[in-house]
Amino acid sequence: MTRTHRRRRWFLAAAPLGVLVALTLAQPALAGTATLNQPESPNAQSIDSTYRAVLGVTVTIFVLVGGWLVYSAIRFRERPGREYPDPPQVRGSTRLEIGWTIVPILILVGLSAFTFYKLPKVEDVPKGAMQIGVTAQQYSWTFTYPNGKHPAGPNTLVVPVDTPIHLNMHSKDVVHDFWVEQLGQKQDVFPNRITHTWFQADKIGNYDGQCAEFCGSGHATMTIVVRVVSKEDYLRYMSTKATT
Amino acid sequence: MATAATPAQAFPAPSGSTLRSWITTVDHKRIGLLYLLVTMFFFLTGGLMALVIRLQLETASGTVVSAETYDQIFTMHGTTMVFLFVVPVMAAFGNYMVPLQIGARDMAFPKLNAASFWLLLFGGLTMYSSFAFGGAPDAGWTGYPPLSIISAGHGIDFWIVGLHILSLSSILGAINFICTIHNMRAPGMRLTRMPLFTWCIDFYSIMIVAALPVLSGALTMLLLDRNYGTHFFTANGGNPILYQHFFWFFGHPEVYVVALPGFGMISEILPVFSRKPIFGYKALVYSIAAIAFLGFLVWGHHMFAVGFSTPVDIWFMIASLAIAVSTGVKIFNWIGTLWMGRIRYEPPMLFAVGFILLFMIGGLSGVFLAIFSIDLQVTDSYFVVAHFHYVMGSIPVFAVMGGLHYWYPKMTGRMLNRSLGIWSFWVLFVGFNMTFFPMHAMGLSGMPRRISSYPQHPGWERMNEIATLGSFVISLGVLLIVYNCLTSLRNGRVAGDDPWRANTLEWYTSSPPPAHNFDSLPPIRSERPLADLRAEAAEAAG
Repeated sequence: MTRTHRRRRWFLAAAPLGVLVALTLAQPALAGTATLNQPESPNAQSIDSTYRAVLGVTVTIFVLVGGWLVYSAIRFRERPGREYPDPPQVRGSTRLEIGWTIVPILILVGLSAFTFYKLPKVEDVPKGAMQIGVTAQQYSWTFTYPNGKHPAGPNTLVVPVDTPIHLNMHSKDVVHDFWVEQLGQKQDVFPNRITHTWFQADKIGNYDGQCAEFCGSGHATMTIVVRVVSKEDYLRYMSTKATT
Repeated sequence: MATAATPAQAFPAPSGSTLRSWITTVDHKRIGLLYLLVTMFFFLTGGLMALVIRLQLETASGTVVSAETYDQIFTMHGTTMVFLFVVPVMAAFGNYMVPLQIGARDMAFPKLNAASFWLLLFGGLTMYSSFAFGGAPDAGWTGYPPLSIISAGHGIDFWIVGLHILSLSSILGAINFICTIHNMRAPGMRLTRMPLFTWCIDFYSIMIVAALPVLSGALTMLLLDRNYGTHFFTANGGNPILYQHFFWFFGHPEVYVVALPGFGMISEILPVFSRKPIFGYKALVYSIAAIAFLGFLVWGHHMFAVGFSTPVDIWFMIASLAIAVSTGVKIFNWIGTLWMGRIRYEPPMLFAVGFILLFMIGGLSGVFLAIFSIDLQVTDSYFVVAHFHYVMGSIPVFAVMGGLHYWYPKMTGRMLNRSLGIWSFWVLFVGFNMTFFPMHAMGLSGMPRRISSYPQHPGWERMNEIATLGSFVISLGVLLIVYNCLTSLRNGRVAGDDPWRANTLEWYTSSPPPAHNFDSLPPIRSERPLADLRAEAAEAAG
């Protein structure tokens, strides 16, 4: 075995290891860019764990299959100045092809099963949720509280912490979409139709969101802030500010 | 050589290279070149608009153009790239190559073929004339009502009429391809021996015929809603969601309309430059057929945020994942073709291998969008923009450019400059990933698509700066290709009939082929007639 051959072998063994080390080191840098923003509601957390499972599986597939592709592409390249015989004229392999049809099916069945397992927490609204009305229009959000008032002004929703909130939404004009990423999934908002979504914020703080369905020239300005406050603060807020 | 008059000769077009001869041509090769010229022009136009989009988003305040102009630009960017570039550019190569690959004299209906081309040009011009008549369409390339109904001015009307003309162009072209492929194959060219690119154009055409009329119907209803007081999709009395069903019933098959011919090009290039037959020819044809069928069953995955009942969500999720399996089969078969091959890295091969890698990223990010709970977080965000550019963008920029480098010698008789080709591949590969990979992260951190500014999120600026820089790197790569194509017309090395030692019939005739395509045809006993010829010659030589 020549020296260059040995060096190449060594490189081939080291390359996957290097990728692994790089991935581990890069993990802090990847947080928040490779994953969804920190979820703060049971539905968002459930989606987040489904996301992470799929991310793990797809990145593994990419490293393995992409690695196989890059390895084949480099390993079997013709080098200039050498004569090569024609390679064996293989036309296929039924056994291999059945194999690489069935394995992806099994992987996807597994991912689907995990999705279904996590699904109830995404879709099922807890009992006794606080009902809040949402009216979307070009280009603002109005929130109507259980007492019929909407005290916080447009685009700001004030809710108590650890309380399930059920939103009943409709639009006055075109299609909009309610999306506050840390509090869970998107939901389109239509004229002449009520759509629903829910969340239960488990941490006090402000959560940014915005309209996610293109709705016209002011689309970018149609922001949402969900202010999650303590239950006491919420009661105090409602009694003093509930004026409109 | 005296031959019986064929239909095309019964109406002879003037030959030579006068302008009149090009305008009146019914030769499939010339029409293919006209298609290529016009689609490349629209590609550059759509690319310029992409640069405006990227400049606008480079800073959080977005001050390059107004929000209104921005809406028109991203609408026209999407519409141009989909309807005036990626779909018709496949017709460019299909027109030029399909009759040659099956050993035919021309397309089945040469004059209809010319009509398809001119409709494409006039459809494009109709849509673009909106800029001169009070403003371009501004409701996105998807044109969702009620927004597209209440949109002021006539931009949307130009969009609808333009798309009608383009649909007609595509449908007529597709019928022509189907008739040609199923009726005009040379003796011995059984379906099971057809080149994979021709197979892909066959399924491309079948999908166009099945999907585009649905779009045309929906657009007609939209036009009536806008101008004649009907209520198909209006907020009061109509159903805006119905439009989304129609649109995506067309729109998702459209993705495969674009993807299949790209797959076909890759499946032509890989065996030639690996010196091996394609791995699993039949499995590839079956998976193409499966994709063409399943493509019609998955449209709802574009609409999860509408709020379906759970069983409907589950159906669209399972059907979408099934497509991932048949796409996976292709990728494995392509790598199987490389395995143990003797790979020669000419530019077409670099583009092909690069395409597989990028398409894998697009395919895997598609799994996130098929799983509806995850989709509800990432849909309508930049994650989707990243995903569809890794799919719909990697096909034209890598598969089609691979095809262009592969077939340019056949079309012009000249080779493209090799080192310039290699340079343009690497520049495009780096630029493409710089532009679109960070968009996954933008979407995950909450950036919705189609916003013209994001002043409340200065944290998104860094990722956007990288993407903007990348888009200029892509532009450089595209300019290199354009420069290469133009200068090689004169300066390129003379190609000869078969510079790549290829397998399929188009390489049997001269480069460029004569108007009648073939003086004679070799016996066709497999999907690689020219490889068979070489093997016979080698045997005869001992």
